[in-house]
Amino acid sequence: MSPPRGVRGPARALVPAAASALLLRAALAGAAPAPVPPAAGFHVPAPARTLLKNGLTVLVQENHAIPLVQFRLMIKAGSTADPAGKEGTAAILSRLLKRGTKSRSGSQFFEEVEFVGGTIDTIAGPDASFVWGEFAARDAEVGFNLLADLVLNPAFRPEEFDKEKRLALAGIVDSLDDPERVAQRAFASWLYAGHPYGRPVEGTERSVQAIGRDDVTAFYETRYAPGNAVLAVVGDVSAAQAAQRADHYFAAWKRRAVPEVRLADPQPVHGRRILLVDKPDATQSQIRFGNIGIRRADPDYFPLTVGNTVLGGGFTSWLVNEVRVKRGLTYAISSRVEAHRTSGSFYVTTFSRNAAVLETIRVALDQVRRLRGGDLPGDDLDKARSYLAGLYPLRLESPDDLAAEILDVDLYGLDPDSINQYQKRVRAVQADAVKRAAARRVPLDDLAIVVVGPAETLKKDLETLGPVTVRPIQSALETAEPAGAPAH
Amino acid sequence: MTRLLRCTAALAALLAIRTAPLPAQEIRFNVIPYRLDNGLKVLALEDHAVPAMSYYTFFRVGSRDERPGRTGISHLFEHMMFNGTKKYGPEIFDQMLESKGGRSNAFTTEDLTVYYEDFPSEALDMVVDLEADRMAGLAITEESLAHERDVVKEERRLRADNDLEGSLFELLQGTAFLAHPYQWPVVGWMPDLDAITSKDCEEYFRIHYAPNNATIILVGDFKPERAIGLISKAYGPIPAQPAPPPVVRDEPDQQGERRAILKRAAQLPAVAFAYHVPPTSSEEVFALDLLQIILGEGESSLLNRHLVYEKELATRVRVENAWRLDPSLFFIYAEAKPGTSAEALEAALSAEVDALAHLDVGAVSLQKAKNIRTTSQVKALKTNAGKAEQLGMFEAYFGGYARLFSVLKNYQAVTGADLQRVAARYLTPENRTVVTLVPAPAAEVAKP
Repeated sequence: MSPPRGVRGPARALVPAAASALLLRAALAGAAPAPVPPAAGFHVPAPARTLLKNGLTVLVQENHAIPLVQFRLMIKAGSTADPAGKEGTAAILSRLLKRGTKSRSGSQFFEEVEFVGGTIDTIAGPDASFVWGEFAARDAEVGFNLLADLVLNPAFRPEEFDKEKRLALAGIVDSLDDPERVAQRAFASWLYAGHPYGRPVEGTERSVQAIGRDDVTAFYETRYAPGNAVLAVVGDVSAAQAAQRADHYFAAWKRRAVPEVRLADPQPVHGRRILLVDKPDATQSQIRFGNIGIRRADPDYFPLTVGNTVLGGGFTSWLVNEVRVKRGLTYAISSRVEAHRTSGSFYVTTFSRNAAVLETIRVALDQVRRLRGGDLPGDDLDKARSYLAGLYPLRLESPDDLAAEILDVDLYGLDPDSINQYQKRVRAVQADAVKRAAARRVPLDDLAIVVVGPAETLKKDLETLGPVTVRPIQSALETAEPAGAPAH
Repeated sequence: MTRLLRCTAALAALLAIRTAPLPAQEIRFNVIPYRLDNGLKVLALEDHAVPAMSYYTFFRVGSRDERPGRTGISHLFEHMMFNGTKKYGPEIFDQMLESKGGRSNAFTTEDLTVYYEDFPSEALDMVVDLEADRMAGLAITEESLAHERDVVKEERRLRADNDLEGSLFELLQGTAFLAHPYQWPVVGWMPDLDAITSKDCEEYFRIHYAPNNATIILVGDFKPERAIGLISKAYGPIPAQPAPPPVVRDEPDQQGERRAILKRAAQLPAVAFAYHVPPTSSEEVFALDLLQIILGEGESSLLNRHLVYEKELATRVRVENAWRLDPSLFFIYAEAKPGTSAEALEAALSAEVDALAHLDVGAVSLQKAKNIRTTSQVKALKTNAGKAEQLGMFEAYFGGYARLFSVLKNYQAVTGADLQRVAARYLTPENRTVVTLVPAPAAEVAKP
């Protein structure tokens, strides 16, 4: 149904692996492209904020362009709050919430959601867990009612817990067949070396085996509390009525104190730490390299984001130009500022035929060297700023994206007007700030490098970059951390 | 503003139909259609919700227009459209667009090749100039073709060779079709990618990239009169070409189940079915789309409930009634849970599908499927890009964009008996291709 979706043919490019970010020289015969004036009329009114008696914050943004309403509840506890050795607890909890409440079995629950053409889903991330839903505006109340039931009255039936645990384990086994996921997970644990940001959200086979139903209910009892949560409602609703309904359906959620998740600062990699995950049958290798970066609220965020756009954002970045366009070494390459709540990473992500892996890494590192060296032509800087600022309104065009952005302001502790300040802040970034941020935050000699591909073909090549640790793919997800990694 | 409010009111009325019969009013956008003398079709929809717009160009060409030995040329050519013209050198297209805060991309399917840009409204003149320039003529060089060929081969390695589901679907389509071009993958076979020459590309461009084979769709913050004026001026001089050779609907009827095995290094088995179904222009597409929803969409769908949660045989299921210009396929895909054999998974899937011909899904399930279809259609219209893509898809698949405004009536009219009838006619073992992914140790599978 609907236009070919899953089986839709290939597009010109996509970004490999997780995260979002769209896929990015020389100007027109010497003429610098003129910076775009601020897009007239882009202003998002502040969401109506209500603090319920139990401590739940409700943010409502009216958007009447389409008769839909988007719910997004954020609980500020994710995989970084998992007990050590029981990684995957937050993820199993979020799945188990969907398998029944005190008054509805999982099947009954979704019969009701889907009968009105609605959706409800849950996911755990590193810093927070989310429950979101989308309903036709006329069924907004059905949405409030069901969403609240799911969050406030989970049944945690033992047989459903067992089932979700089996499904979680199956998912981990299954992910071994996806080279991009293997690379993404192995890179996180290889880079963060034991720090909670390096743990896979879904856990490992061993850690999930260790999780009992009590661990999941304990996580829920400790962390799922109204004072630790924010509900965003965006769409074709009245702010006053939405706040009233939120109060009606969420008032029974009991207030309780939630222990703070305190994370140590992760240790940056010194020198080159290379992991080669052996996948003997691969005809293409996945490549990730980078180092510890910044948290979202870091003052370097904007200069680094602009520098990152020059290096590896969009379709005309240095990385795309040198690695893809000039040499045909890959189909997609980008660099990322992955900024979490208390820390983050800066990394390059790509893939290449096995014989071209070393050349791909070398050419990409040449571009990193150039940015660190402060070579920043004014045209490139202008283009990066215009690109980021110009696309920002489009990133918030649909109610679900706007809801997510509104919650990010709260999660990352940004100033309340940061959405409306985004374009201004991007445009204010000067070359010197980019150069300083790049010199500090864009890694070159100190790197965690992960390659997923056939070790027999790749090992010698990679050893020209530094000492290489080889691990079979089956154990890569269990033990991707470097030996002797510090405990956190 | 009045126009915008009218859209909203019409959509609201549409969603109010849940259990009641459908009112006459439906999705309604004030689309302004226009056709140039050279045959180029333009659809313009003004919408000032954000100070930006989307610009889509649909060419009616895809992998179905290819021939053996040159598979993948549609998609490789799509890449070449970004590699420069006489006026603008390679990469200038993206540089100019990104400098204005816009983005562009494209995708190729079996039937269509679609180019699109999202950008702040003030960049419209530039976009029209860039798009008209590349429709008027490309500067294809051996060097740019050689690099782009390597890029596409990496894309093939990513999506097919090193992706189990991608490999499985290639085998499935290749086994299901004996004659029709839908048998080869959109990305093309590796040796064919090596065989494509710049002469092939020039020929391909002349035949398929003519204005009379294209539709431009603009949605967003602009004035239609001015935009159509710009387009007429920029595209007007591009000459029409003779219509491309028609694709023959040559696929013979299937007379018995077909089977194939994919043996690869894998953790878990998987099973995929494909049933021959009529083209999307057929009246039966509505019942088939609803069967897709009933089987596989949502946590409460039949396959999710029975196979994933109750019997715990599968970790994931996916069902798709693929929209295609020529006779198409209805796909069902399931991944086995650890401990489930491919045989057990296949048997369970078969039992579910075979039962549909006699299954009374009940009024509630039927209405649920219709409601899911309705809201999914509305959700597809959340952004300018979404609206443009939907208008283009309806123009291509239903012979006119305005079918978007009435299509939900067709879904509402489907009865339980219709579901049984199309299931009995198409979802039969005799009309089925089954492909199984059989895991083998890495050492046992052929070395690349």
